[in-house]
Amino acid sequence: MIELQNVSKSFRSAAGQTAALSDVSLSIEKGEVFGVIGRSGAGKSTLIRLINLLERPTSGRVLVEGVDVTALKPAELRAFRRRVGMIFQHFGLLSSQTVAANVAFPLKLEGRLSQAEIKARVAELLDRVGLADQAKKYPAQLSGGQKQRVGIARALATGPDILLCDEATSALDPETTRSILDLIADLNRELGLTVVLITHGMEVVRQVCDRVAVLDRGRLVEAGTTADVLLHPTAEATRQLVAEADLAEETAAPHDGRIVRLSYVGDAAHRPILAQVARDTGVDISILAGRVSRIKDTPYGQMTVALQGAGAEAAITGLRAAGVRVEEAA
Amino acid sequence: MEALFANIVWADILKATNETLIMMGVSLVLTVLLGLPIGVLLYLTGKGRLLAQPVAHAVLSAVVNLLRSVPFVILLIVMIPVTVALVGTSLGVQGAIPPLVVGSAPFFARLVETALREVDRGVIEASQAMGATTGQTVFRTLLPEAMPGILAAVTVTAVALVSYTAMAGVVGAGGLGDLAIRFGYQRFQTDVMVVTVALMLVLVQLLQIIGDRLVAHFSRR
Repeated sequence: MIELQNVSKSFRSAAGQTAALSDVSLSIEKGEVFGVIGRSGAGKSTLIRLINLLERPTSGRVLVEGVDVTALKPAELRAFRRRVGMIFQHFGLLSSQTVAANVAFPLKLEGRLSQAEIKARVAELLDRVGLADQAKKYPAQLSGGQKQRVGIARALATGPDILLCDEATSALDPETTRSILDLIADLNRELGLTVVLITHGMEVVRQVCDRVAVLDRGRLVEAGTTADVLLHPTAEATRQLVAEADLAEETAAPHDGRIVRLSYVGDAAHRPILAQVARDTGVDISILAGRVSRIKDTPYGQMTVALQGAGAEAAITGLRAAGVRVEEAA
Repeated sequence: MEALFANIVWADILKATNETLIMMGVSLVLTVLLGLPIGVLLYLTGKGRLLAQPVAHAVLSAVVNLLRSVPFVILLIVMIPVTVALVGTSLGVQGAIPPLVVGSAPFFARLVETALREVDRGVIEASQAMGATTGQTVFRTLLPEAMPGILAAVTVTAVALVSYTAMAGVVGAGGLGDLAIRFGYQRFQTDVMVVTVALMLVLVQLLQIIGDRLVAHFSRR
């Protein structure tokens, strides 16, 4: 659906050329929620703006459904942008216009629908994002979460295939963030919308992303399914982000015996694996730290345990056989 | 009362007030028509803006600064040949309007540029992301969003024009300023001076009140 091929972007500044992105390649599948995570200054904002060409790459190609968007003529680019919705951290709403007029804005730009059709479409969109009763208000009268819902309704107005979310929940409190992410996930399922979101919050990735890419100082350091990247980060930048988000377990308390880290995803989370292995091998298992939770819709568990007794080796083999990933704790 | 306002001819005052209102009103409309596009161009051609054009911006900016740096009294005189060419005379209300517009349009253009700069970049970016042309971004996003600022600029310009019309009195433009200079100052008729100044004060107050109301009406923040 979306493919970045060896994309680089540098900006001219007082100090000379500054590279925002260096040789980034990634591909985003139709209908998935794809996250890009990184610290501020990692190049996330630049990356998402390359997709609808708010930024032009210095080199490399940006393909959307096989079409090189950097080669589009101005009119073609405008038509293309109507098929790509975008929402922003600070919402980007017209403060001088009502909620309804903001949602109608892209439809008026397009100039395809009649006044009556626009009115009907706006009502339908506001209803979908739960703001049917706020149509006549001005953005300044709304809460942050409501403003972002207006932003989403506006982004969907022209019926896009792709939704770009530029730190869409970064200005919102945790509860509002969850409700906005739920809405985005619902829209992804209902409309088959391909969603690209950038964030510096691991929680956002964990809640909605199918796959995730990690940017560090303009370079793509890791990419894969959300579960893989979060549970088994390989790049240092990813490890730090995961650790800060408290998705990794606390440092284990000192304990005798053999200390190992276990992680499991999916069905394994529902089975009483630890109890079974303990029974079969006669090993005492003490849980030192851990968490059982969900990554998007997939349950997962991650824990640090101490194995005591002669059967420790057999226990590890048994755990592995049950689909648990076992690593020696350093 | 008779003794207090011995020199006042109310018919003259009325005529002068009318002339001031016409000079100010017509000049204001023309100033907005001329200054608004210049202000928009100043903004659009600026660094990092939609139509960033460093050379065009520098030239436009220099012309605006040049016109703004000429004192209005001098501009009135320097412009006489141009004024005659444009409206056939350099005298009266008609003759005052071209220098008034040339004097205030660059000032108004700068105020418009400043008002446009206050518009949130995020809104402009959103407009582009939705596939707006530059024209659509200007007319549907920039100008509506900057409307309170632009109305405030119109108010400030209208008030400045009132004092410019008084100066235009020096070259025989008519109006309250003309009356104040010829009778109030040159003939020591203090009562004429007091009445004309009082009328201009009322005019300025009214303009400011109307302007503030309009700004409040269009502000949604």
